[in-house]
Amino acid sequence: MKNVDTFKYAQKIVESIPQERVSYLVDAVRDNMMSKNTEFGDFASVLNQDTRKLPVMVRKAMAEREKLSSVPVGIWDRQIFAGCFTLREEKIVNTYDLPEFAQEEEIKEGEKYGFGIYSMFGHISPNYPRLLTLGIVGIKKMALDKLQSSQGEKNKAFLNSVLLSLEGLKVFASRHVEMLRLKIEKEKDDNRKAELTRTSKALERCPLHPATTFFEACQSAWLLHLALQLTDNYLALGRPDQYLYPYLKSDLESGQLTLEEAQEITDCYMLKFNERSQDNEVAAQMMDLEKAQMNQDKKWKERKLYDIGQQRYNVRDTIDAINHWNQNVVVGGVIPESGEDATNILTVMIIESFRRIHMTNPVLSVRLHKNSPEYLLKQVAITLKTGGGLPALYNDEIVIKGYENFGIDKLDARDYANNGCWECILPGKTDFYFIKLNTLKCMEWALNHGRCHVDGKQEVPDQGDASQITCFKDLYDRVLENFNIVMETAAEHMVQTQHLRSIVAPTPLLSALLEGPIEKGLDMTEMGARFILGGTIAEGISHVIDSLCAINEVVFKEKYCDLQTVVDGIDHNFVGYEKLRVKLAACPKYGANNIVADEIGMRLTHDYAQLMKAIDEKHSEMKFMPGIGTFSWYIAVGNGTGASADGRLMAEPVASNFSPSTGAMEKGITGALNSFCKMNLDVMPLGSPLDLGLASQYVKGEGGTVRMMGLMKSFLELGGNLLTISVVDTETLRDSQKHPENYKDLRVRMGGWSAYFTMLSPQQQEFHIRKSQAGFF
Amino acid sequence: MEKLASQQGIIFDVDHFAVHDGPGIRTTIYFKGCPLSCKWCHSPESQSDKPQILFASNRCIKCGACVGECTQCCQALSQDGKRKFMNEDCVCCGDCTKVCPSGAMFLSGKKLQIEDVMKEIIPDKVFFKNSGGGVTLTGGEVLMQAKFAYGLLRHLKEEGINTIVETSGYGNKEELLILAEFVDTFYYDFKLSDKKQFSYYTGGDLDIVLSNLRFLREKTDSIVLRIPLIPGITDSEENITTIYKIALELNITKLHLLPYNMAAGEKYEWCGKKYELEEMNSDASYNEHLKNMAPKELDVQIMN
Repeated sequence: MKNVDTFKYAQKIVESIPQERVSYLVDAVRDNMMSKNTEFGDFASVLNQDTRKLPVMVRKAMAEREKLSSVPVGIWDRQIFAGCFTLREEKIVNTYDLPEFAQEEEIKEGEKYGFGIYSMFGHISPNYPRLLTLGIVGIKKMALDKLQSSQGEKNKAFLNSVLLSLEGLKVFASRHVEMLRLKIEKEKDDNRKAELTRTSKALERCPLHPATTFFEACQSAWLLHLALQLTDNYLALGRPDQYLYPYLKSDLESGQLTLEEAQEITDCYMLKFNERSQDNEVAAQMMDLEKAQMNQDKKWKERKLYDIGQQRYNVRDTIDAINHWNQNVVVGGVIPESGEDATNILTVMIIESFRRIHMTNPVLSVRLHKNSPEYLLKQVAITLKTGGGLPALYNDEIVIKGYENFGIDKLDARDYANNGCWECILPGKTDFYFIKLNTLKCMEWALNHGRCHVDGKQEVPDQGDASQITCFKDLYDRVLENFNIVMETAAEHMVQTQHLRSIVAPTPLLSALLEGPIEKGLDMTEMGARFILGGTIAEGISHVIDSLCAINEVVFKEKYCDLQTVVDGIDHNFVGYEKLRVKLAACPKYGANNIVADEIGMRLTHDYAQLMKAIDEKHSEMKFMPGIGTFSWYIAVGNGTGASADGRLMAEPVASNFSPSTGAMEKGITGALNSFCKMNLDVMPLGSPLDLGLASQYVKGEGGTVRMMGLMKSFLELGGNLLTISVVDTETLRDSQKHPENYKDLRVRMGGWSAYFTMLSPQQQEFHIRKSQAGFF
Repeated sequence: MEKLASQQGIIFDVDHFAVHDGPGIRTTIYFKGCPLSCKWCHSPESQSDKPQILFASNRCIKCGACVGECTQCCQALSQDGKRKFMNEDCVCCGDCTKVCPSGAMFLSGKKLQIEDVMKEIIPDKVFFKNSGGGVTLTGGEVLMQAKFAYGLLRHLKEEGINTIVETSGYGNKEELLILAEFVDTFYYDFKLSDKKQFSYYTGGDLDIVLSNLRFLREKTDSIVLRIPLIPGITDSEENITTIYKIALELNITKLHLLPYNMAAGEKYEWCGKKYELEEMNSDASYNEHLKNMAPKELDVQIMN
């Protein structure tokens, strides 16, 4: 039996280059981005006289089965994993339409609560270990056992729909086997024949039965991911280095796989998540931009307190998010049972795939803690130096503590992973929804009679004239009250409507692969998951801290002018108030390790978390937790808010996530981290990332790797929770605008994922260039 | 010296993630004031030992805010939009910098107490520890404020912080030697080995630099010689070979070659000075050649 030496492997691979096949496939993926694909979406309706009598749950399962029985199946030249988002030769992209299954009354009823047939929120992670260890057969048995003991019609309908949808997954696999059989018959090359045969054999066994090899486990997990995404569930991958590792370990130890083969399989697997990627221009050509913009504008006009449409974004911004489908991977961390370091050779291999294939998907994150091995930190540092801000860094100690502070057991908390962009969840057992809390608007309302500055809409109750605010506490209390109004409304909305998703958007296939639904006999949308997590993610909070601080300094402490003058300045977008604006902007800001600003930040983050705790205690139906961030909507968030008291002009973008505002980092990178780590991060279990950027000269060479590792270790020691570090050079960004052809793999961090810079809208490009000019940001 | 330790110094910048001033994550403290005036100086604002207002005319939006604020009438904005800043009348009150909306007027140089500087540094300690970094004092010329440097370095060593002092060696010998007690590594600039050229290009006397280096070498092992590679001035084979010889003779084995990058031109304008040198470009392969010329006993690094 062979021994696997992860340390030795980590040392070896940092200079390695991908296998020729992987390089070929990387090019094929890039090439595919540039071509317009034909959409496939002609499905037979599952509605007929007989099915109309069945519950919507069962019809949805039929729709899932129907879709998996009819979408095109394939494998690209030289690929080893079957099942594709896009068929390369025929240029067909699998679209997300579902076969018709809902009846008109159901659709109408759902609309009342804002739900449609596509109201699956995604943003969670299915239970991959369940699929790999039980297979469809084992899960079916679970459902059948439960069915036997179930009396309720509702439970029976759900469990039957689980069986139907699993049937769909089984059919999906066998259609791939059939496709491969035809290919094998035609294939002349013996090597390729053998490869295709391996894939075919794997699919004959899995996911129907438990996986037995690393290759089977990857293929099985991939097929499930594909099936779920095709049935409109945008889901994350959880911790693949943990659930796939037992298979890899046994293959390596038995000599069935060499390290090189294992790395190639890992590279190919990671690459699969990119094959749906599209050039933004190509995507734009496929869209009716004008109509899309009209929809966006309409959504903004009709915005409600609990509505995501709080943000005013233009459609180009949406296109910039085109290559992100919530496909998150977290590696590293600790073993839940023992709390010991969980790093293994697959952790290393997955990170290595990212370093050398320079792709944007899946979004990679790494969990670190004080016992993370030095070689892992080094490998992460080297990978970060390739740009794009991947992997994102999570500090186990603080995130786990955050979960525990909100009443989650250590065992569950230690198994956390992420979803969507970076939000922390408990993989395989959580149903999740969040609402965005635009905190800058809470500040705006406090000074503007509860009205929006951009279009004057009355959004929250009038708290009275700003002149009635006579001290800092008055102002602060108003802002916090507005936080609470949005949070309460959001929580109420979630509690009152989450179970109503089941009217038109039940999710039998996903529910089969979550801890909870089968056990309870309830679909995830009927609140069947073991954890039902809700929360708010606070946007623009850095600017609120800065604005509160500026008003406190200028109005209440220095008495340079009265509050009304500041309000007038904001009303006029500081035209005619330039001097005041300079004065306000010069006040201490969050991100410079300045105690004056940081104390306000500490108070605000603490109070925000306390409000959430109170909300959590009030509602037993769901678990509520707070987070802070903007994702990639820093432009949209700014676009929907007026000027702010920190000197920010109307519609100017806000700082991404929990980063300091542009120009605030007077004490550099170290000052920003010091400020950030004071902000009560151990009560922000959903996460609150700090996005940092560095010019490449700061981390050049071996010395630079040591510096990068020093940053990471300090982040852990100071008690940060989430950190991204992008290596970006202004000159490179500028040059790529002139010569995009030379920068196909240039990536920048978008607040929640990585995007190819040359594909971004001019507005986004300028945002990134402006930010990068300081050399650090 | 202890009694003479000065509590107050004048600092023109603090860099919290410096990369060119030693290993690891370092916080660099820039001392204001320099006895030399090298024609290629990268930070002309560091030469005067007093605070000064800098004016970046390219950033000026000609709003006239500073004109209204200035009590000394140094600021002028004429009807036709011509903008002038009369440095000679300026008393450096800094009022204009507070109202400038575009960041065109700003203050260089602040009088700071040792405890002020320590307050800047202490929060970075964790970063030093995790990256093998520390604090670098540079300038300007640290020796111009040797007493302040002494006080500061002592505090740094009390905190267990690694210290580097970058110096041109142009200062009082005794003061330099006393500093050595609290300095882990000296980055000792060696620009030109020819007395006449040294005088022409820096305005200083080479003998002081050389003699101080000899004395310092007797006192400490950890000296790194740093040679700025100014094209056509310091990067001649002859100059570099001579410096290599001196290094061998003094048994100083570590040398840094610092390639020149043209970036300071506009800073001269900010200080109301004129940059006399022409635009030059550093040639990477030639620099590599200079490195390869070094005797094998020497460890020469190009600091890109």
